[in-house]
Formats: sequence, C-alpha cells, structure tokens
Amino acid sequence: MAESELKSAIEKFAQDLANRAETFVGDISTLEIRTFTTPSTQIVNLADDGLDFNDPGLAGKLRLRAYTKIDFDCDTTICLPVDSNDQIDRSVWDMHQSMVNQALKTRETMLQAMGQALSSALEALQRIAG
Amino acid sequence: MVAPAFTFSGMSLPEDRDPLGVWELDVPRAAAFAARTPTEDLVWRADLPAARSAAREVLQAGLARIAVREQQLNVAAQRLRYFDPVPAYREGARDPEAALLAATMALRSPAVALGARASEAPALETSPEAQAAYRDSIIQCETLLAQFRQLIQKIARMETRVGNRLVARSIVDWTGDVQTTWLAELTPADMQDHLDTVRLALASRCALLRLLVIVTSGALGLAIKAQVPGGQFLLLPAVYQYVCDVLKALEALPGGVPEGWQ
Repeated sequence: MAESELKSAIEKFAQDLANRAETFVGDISTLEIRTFTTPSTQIVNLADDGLDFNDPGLAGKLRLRAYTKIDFDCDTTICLPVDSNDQIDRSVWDMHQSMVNQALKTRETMLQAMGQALSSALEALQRIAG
Repeated sequence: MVAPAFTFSGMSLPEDRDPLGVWELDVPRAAAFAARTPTEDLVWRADLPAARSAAREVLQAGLARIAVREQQLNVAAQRLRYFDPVPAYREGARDPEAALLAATMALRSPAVALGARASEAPALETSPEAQAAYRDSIIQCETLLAQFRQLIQKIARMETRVGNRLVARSIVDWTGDVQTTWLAELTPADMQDHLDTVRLALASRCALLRLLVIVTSGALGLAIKAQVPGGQFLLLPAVYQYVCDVLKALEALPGGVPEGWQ
C-alpha cells in the first residue's frame, strides 16, 4: 500500500513539473506588469484574500494606473498614468517603473533557474539511461 | 514575544522550518490550508517596524542573509557531488557526511531490502521491523514530494506591512508577470520597502527551487554511487537533511562560506 502511494506521489510530482515547464515555456514570451492603486480604506479589505483581477467587483476598489507589456522580441506596449491635468503622474510612474525593472530581473533569474533545473533533469535522465 | 519580521505561508516544509533561515513558517495557517481547499498562493509577508531606520535594517539583514545562503547552497551542492558513500569516517563523527552515510547504509541494509521484497511478495517472511523501516522511508519520501509540489504549483504573493499598515501587495507568477496594488497615499520610503520585500521573496523562492534541484539530483547521484534500489526517491529525505545540516554547519564560518567562496 505504501509503495503505491509513493508511486502516486512521484507521478503527481513529475506531472506538476511537466505542467510548470509547459506553462513557463508558453508564458515566458510576454512579460506584463500592472500597477494598481487603492485608497487606504480599501487595502485592508484586500489583504488575506486572493485577488481575481477579472472580477468586476474589484473595479470599485482598485484603479489600474499603469501597464507595460514586453514581448520576447522586445516590442513594448506602455500605458502611462496621467493626473487630472493630463500630466504624467510621476509618483505612480516611478512605482510602476521600479516594478518593471524588478520584473525584468525576475524573468532573467527564472530563466536561469529553469535552465538549471532542466539541465539537471537531463543529466539525471542520461545517468539513468547510461 | 517579538513577532517575526518575515513570515511565509501556503507551503509546509520538514520540521516546519525554512531551510534558508530567513522566514518563519506560519504553521497554523499552513495547517488550516490543509483542512480547507488549498489556496493558490504562497504568501511571503514582511512586517516591518514603523521607524524608518529599523525597517531598512531588517530588510537589509534579510537580503544579506539570502545572498549568503545562495553561496552556501553552491557549497552544499559541491560537497554532495563529491560525497563518497564508503565507511571511511572516524567513529563518532557528527559531520553531515557521517549522517548521510548512515542513512544511505540503512537503506541498503538487508532488513530494508527484505522489507522491500516483502511488499512485492507478501508470502515472503520478514520481520515486522524490516517492513516498518521500509514503510517509514516511503512515507517520509512521499511527504517531502508533496511539500516540493506546493512550491512548484503555487504563485507568489508578497505583502508589506509597515507599523501594522498594509502598504502594498504584489502577485508574481513563475514567468515574472507582476500585478501590484499600492496604497494610494504611499511614501517613497514605503515603496522601497515593498520593492525590497519582493526582491527578498523572489530570491527566497529561487533559492528553494535550487534546493529542490540539489536534493533531487543529489539523491539520484547517491543512489547510483551507493547502489540503493529506488534510492533516487527513498534518499530524498536524507539528502534534504544533509543539505540543511551543511547550511547549518556553514553558519559557524566567518562570512558563512569557506575561504575562496566569498
């Protein structure tokens, strides 16, 4: 009984790895960064909950202030935040730009991490086969 | 009792302990997840003091610690690569290699081998102790795999509180897509605090992924060297413990890593 449970655990683990690798490869081509703001009275209500950004009910609590999309070939789409005078809102833009820089570094790090994981997996397979 | 600055929930780990030594596992919350439908997120949370300088000090200490841990993981990986499972250690040695050797030899023992055979051939007579030893090793391995799965399955959510006030929250998936909600009345200092929380959480997630890779590839290598049937899985808990023991031993060194690694 214990052995069949272990086999099941291994299969689930391998399947999760495969799914994660597949999602990674499919999604890595585009990097999206969204910056929202919310008043202090609302942010407490958002804590401890999963946020579904497709939920129309969130429209009253969050404002999408800036958006950046970077494709793998570096084509970039940017939505700039502006204030009521149609001037760029620098404080929001600074927040957003900091997150864009962090996201670019994160993607680079994850590519390296995934590369290491996949090469380890390949090496392991070669050792089993060899 | 002072509340921990960095807490982590949504995933369990052996002994409910963060091997990186940065985060406090929020165990009741993790246990509650097990009782309900598991959540989608791994939640990394920074609770910073209201005083600006104290908050910066806490974050810088966390970032410095994870940087050292990354180097220590490289040391652990190399030690594991060159580990030779021969009984050449002095009696009574307490180094991580001695413990790993003992665990490896235990899995090679005739008792456990008989326990393994008994699971395939119930008519074969083996002692209850042998069967129990084999069953225990399987359960430990299964538990560790389930814990590793949580790391891979879930996306990361980071929250920063300064003086008990939630200032920002980010959700980062595995490819780096980010969605951040900022408190509208944020100060530049609060913003920097959250950016550093995000950096620390992402570095920790990468380090845990690296740990997972070291443990799984290390168990395979050791299974081949030591000729332990099924060892690529059964050795996972022992190799995980070895890496944790090496990280702990390296803490005693100046700078946390051997000379030449700094």
